[in-house]
Amino acid sequence: MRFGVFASILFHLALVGAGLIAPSFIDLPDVAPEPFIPLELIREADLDLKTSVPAAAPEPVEEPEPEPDIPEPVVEEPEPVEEKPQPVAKAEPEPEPVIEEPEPAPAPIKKPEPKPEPKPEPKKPPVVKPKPKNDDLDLDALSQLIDKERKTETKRATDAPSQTTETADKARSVVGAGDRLTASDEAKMRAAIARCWSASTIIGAPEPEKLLVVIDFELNRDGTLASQPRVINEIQINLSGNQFWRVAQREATSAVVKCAPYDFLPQERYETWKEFRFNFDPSQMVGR
Amino acid sequence: MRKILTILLTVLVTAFGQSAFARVTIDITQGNVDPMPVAAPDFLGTDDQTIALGRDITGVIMSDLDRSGLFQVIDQRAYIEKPESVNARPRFADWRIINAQVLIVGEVQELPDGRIQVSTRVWDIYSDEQLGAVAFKTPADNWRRAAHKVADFVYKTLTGEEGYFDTRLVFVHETGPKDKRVKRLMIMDQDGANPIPLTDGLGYQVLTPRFSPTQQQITYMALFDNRPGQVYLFNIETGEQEQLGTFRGMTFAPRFSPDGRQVLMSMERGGNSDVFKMDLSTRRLTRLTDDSSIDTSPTMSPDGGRIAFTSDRGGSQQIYVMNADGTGQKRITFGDGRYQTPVWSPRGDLIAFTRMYGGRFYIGVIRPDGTGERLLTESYLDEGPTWSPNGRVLLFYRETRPRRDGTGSETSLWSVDLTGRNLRRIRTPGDASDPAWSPLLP
Repeated sequence: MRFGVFASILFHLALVGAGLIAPSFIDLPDVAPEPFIPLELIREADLDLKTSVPAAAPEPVEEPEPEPDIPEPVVEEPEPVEEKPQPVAKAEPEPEPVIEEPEPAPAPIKKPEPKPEPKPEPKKPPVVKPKPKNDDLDLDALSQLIDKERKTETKRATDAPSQTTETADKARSVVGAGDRLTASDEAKMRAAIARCWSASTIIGAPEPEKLLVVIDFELNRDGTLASQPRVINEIQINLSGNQFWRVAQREATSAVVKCAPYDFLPQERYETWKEFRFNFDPSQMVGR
Repeated sequence: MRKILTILLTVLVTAFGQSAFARVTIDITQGNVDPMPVAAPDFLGTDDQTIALGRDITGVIMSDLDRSGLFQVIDQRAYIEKPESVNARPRFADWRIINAQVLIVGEVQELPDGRIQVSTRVWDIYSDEQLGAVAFKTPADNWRRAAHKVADFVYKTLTGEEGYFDTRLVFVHETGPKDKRVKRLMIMDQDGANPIPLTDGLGYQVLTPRFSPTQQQITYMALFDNRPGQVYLFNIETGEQEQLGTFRGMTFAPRFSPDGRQVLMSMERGGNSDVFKMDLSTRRLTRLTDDSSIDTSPTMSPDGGRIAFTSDRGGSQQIYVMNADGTGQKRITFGDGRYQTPVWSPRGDLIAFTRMYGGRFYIGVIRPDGTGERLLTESYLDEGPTWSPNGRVLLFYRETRPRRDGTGSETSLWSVDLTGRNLRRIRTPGDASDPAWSPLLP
């Protein structure tokens, strides 16, 4: 019995644990919208076939013949479209690398990442130490009030029965190192994205307040994209059937890609800007 | 056992702690509203004829996209890559260098039956992927419509809404001196090409033409010298003209219902005018308003549920909204001056109007519930707004101030985006007023 109960508790705890851990991994795999592309193309082409009846101008109204003809060849076309580009793409990897030289670059950068990280850590504490020594208690109290994450950290610290001044300093050092984006860095980011986010096609759309697009992306230390931007509310957008929302999604993703590299962000504060979530909200831009 | 539990808890806390790591969240509320840069090299051809057609078709597409104000076509001289086939994947890097965001590649082929096939692909330069592909077959002399169709396809691919380039405009063509003005109906493509007179040499004047949303048909008011003006139907394809009922009083301000089966209009009797609707199949007239004031300019919402109209029952001419059966009449504008010619947007979310205030005229839009009034244009005289079929653009006419002797005034057609941007004059042969935008051509 006891064993059964205990096993059950363990099992449930493990389940809860898996649930908590999962969110951090769930984001990762949804990066691949590529399989969608061929499907969308076929659908678009088909739709176009239906609507693209090249009826004649005012005079040639008598020529409805084109209509039956059109669908057949047009259907044939889109198919090669998808097939052809793919082989071509494979066959022409040479021109692409020219553009995407940054891609191979980031890869090696990713590996060294763990190495540089430990380095700044030892460096940071000494930099921050002088500050905390002056007003330990006030800062801690403030940080507890302000930041939930820090609460968890301080909890851990208080759990420990004997806390040395060293550990306190370490905890403070993480706080003092600035785990938040500075206002000027945020302003730079906003200015850059404002230029890259092409919003002219969205602002005339009906109900622009419903076109929110949430995008997560990570950056390498040199400001290049560490991975393709992920649209967090992609499923919602697809299920909505709202064409304007899809356009908004495309323009938002495009803006993040277009603006890279974000090399204006200071490398020494990399920890504060390596992960972003952008909420693209066109509602305030519309003059209505 | 405790150890295992402790380890488990530690793992949970650590995992939770890591997942809560600060991802910087920024609300992006300002974007670039400049036109989107688009590259469109001349459509490819296989011989002299198709090469020339390709160049002409590209010109029309570029002009359509540019006029929309949403796109800016990059000068072809800046292009680095010269596409050699419509089926080849572009070198995206070459297009990124010139800041193109979208690339349109096309080809014109001559078919064995003498017609041409226009094939087009739209590429997203930053995601390196194709956004869409389309092909049209048509007789070679119908190439302009093929070009408009391609432009509509590109527009829909990039904005998510239907285009409006394969449409036509009906307007009142004005000639002659002010005191002996001759007005006649004319139709042309939305880009000003192919102007054709619909009526000519008539003994009466034509006012307020309105396009049927479902057929190649218009309704308008004809003004006679010797009897009250009446509402007419006109079939564009056959040229047939028909009076909508015979009434003692004047009928005016006609407008089709969104399903094209009814015509809303005003009828004047003994100095009082009210709003009526006529069923086109039975020709039965139903009264919708019964007020001692002047009720006129009815326009129906796209779902057919409501009607907006103007009335001076409150002292000045203002816009009111009521149910389609005439019940629930409610005033929605309360601004200074006068409001007239309300037109319900095909999207249903806005009503366009003309407002006279402080000696100036404005074209504006307002939500059907009376909120969010915005004035889009202002001039000496702006009048007669009409919506593009997608509800994105408004067309209206503008008259310039005449000289003291009454001459020198010009009347012309203008378009403006519903955001108030991109005000442009529409090319017409001579003076033009009272525009009406057709639905997308079949």
